[in-house]
Amino acid sequence: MNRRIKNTLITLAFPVLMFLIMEAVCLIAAGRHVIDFSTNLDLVNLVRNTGIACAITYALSFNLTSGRLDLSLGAQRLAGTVIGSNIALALGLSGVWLLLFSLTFGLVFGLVVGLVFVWARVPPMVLGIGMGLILESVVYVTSGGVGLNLFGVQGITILSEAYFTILVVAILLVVVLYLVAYTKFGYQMRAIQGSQRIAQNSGINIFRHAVLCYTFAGGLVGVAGILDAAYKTQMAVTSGNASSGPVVSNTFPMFLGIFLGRWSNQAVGILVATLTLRIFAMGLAKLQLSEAMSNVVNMFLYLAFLVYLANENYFKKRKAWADRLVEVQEKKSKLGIPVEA
Amino acid sequence: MTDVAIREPSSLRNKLLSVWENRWTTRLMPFVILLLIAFAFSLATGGRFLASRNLTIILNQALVVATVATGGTFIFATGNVNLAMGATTVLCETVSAMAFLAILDAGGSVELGLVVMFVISVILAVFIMGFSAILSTKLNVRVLYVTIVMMTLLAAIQQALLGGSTLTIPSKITRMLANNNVHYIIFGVFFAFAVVIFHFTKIGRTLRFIGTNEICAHQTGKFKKDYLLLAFVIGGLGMGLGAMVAIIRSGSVSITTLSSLNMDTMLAIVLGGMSVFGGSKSFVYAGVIGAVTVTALQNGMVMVGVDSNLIQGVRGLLFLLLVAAAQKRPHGLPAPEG
Repeated sequence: MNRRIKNTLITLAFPVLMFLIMEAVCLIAAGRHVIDFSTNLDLVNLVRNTGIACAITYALSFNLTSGRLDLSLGAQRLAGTVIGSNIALALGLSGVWLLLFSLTFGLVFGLVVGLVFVWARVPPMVLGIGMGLILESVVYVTSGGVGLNLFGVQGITILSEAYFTILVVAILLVVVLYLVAYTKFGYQMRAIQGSQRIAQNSGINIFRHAVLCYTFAGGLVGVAGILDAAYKTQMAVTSGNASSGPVVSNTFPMFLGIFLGRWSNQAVGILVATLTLRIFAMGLAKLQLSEAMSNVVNMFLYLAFLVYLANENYFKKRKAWADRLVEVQEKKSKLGIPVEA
Repeated sequence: MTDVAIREPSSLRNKLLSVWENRWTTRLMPFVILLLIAFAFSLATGGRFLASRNLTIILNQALVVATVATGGTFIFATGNVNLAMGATTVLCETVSAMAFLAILDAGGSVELGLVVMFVISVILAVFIMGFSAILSTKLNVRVLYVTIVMMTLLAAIQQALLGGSTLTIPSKITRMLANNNVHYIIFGVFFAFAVVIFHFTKIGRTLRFIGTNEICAHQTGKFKKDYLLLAFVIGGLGMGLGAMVAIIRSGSVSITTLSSLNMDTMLAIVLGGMSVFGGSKSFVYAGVIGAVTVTALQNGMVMVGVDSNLIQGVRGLLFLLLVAAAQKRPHGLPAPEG
């Protein structure tokens, strides 16, 4: 079979298999379908949730693949969406303008975090916690504690339409795919993922690259934020770094996406992984598990996946070690050296 | 020429650097910061900040963070950061309070309930931290990823157990425990234990060695895997005891209880003068002095009338500045381990 077709089939098998498994479980346990095709409600929800999660996961992938966990991404999402959209609304703009303003302000806040990272050079996780607290505070002050309220605002329904979400995700997919796979930035990213020190010694400006990663990530979470806010018609201010919750939970699709990327590429892998896990989440909801219980199940699955990922070559390594021992023993006996028991 | 001037030992910059990097500066700085905070807020509040009643409040508020942070220094010393300290403490608080109330409901004695509550809290915390360490040391999952998952998982378990309800320990019981200074005794005994282990035994020395140079420690026969498990278990002990202190202090548990504990603990350890990279400059009292500083800062700003949402911005800024100031600025970007 053509390798490309085989890889495509393997990639697509993940969401399809997940759907079939959850469909069977839901039918047996609850007598319900994962996706109720008699109305388009489930489908629209799936598309919207996948789109929002996918944008956040792309944002995470810019830094986390290089070992930088940015815990301020949630606060950047909040700041970009609330401040950007409030400014757009104050200028009398609506609809797609809100998306553009959120994107722009997300980029700005991402740039700020990136510049602070390069200046302070503190561990990324520590930076994320500090910047998260600061940005949440900034959002509180600038919005007077209200956050973003879109209730009754004309022209925002387009942002929560399924076709619009699909369009946005398609654009993000193309942009991220192009950036990661076909640009100098993407090559540099892979070099830094291999070894930051070697990348720096070979002439890559790792500081500029880190700032760019933070900036792109900020823009992406800005997009995710406004899509979410448009559907819920609001985005409330948070404190104590609570904004990082949705971001942390999307580390699972990111790791799964990178794993699936073996049969396609990182951008497609992340999209497919996000879709797969959203189907899983929908199945759990149809089983009438509470949000907390769904999270428990999801996190155990995540742990199991991480354990698998960390040990996937275990048996291969053991076999290689055993083969090597046999080889050594054969060599020894050939040379007449006594073989130890 | 500039380069030569910078390398000149007698240059002002190098003199300042040598003072800044002096071990006594590192050790005394947290106390100086605390005194400065006390002085500034005392001036701003007309002396009310230093009133004995307010100081007792600060001390009591700081006790939970101090207990958890004292255990946390063992983990930090190895150069690892644990994001699940707060979630572990709160889950232990929830489960042990549920056990206590179940025993009372079943007609058991208060004494039995208290013993069971204490034992469950400590064992559960040690189990959770031991499990986290095993995932990392035996199953090779990176500590950072383990703690991310555990943070979310434990919070979800607590939410599933509690739902929207609040558990309340009868106030006469918590008052009785507080009047007998049980929370101070718990903290005092654990702190003394931690000081001995951290500063006067091979375990503490090895943990600091691993934090200073993991490869060198490994080549000297100090295997990170074994000692990381120990660090997590002692950290877990602190979290279990911290949960007990929290119950005695507030007497109630809900899903919003101690929501900022993890952040406060990390801030306390850093404000206490410990590097986030761990190593030889780690000391066990960093968590305690830092916890008092964090609480004093919060208390002082509230007394001055600063909005709580602004306080967190100030704390975030202070956190970043102190971490940046306490570390030697790397030539490259911080290591990719997070």
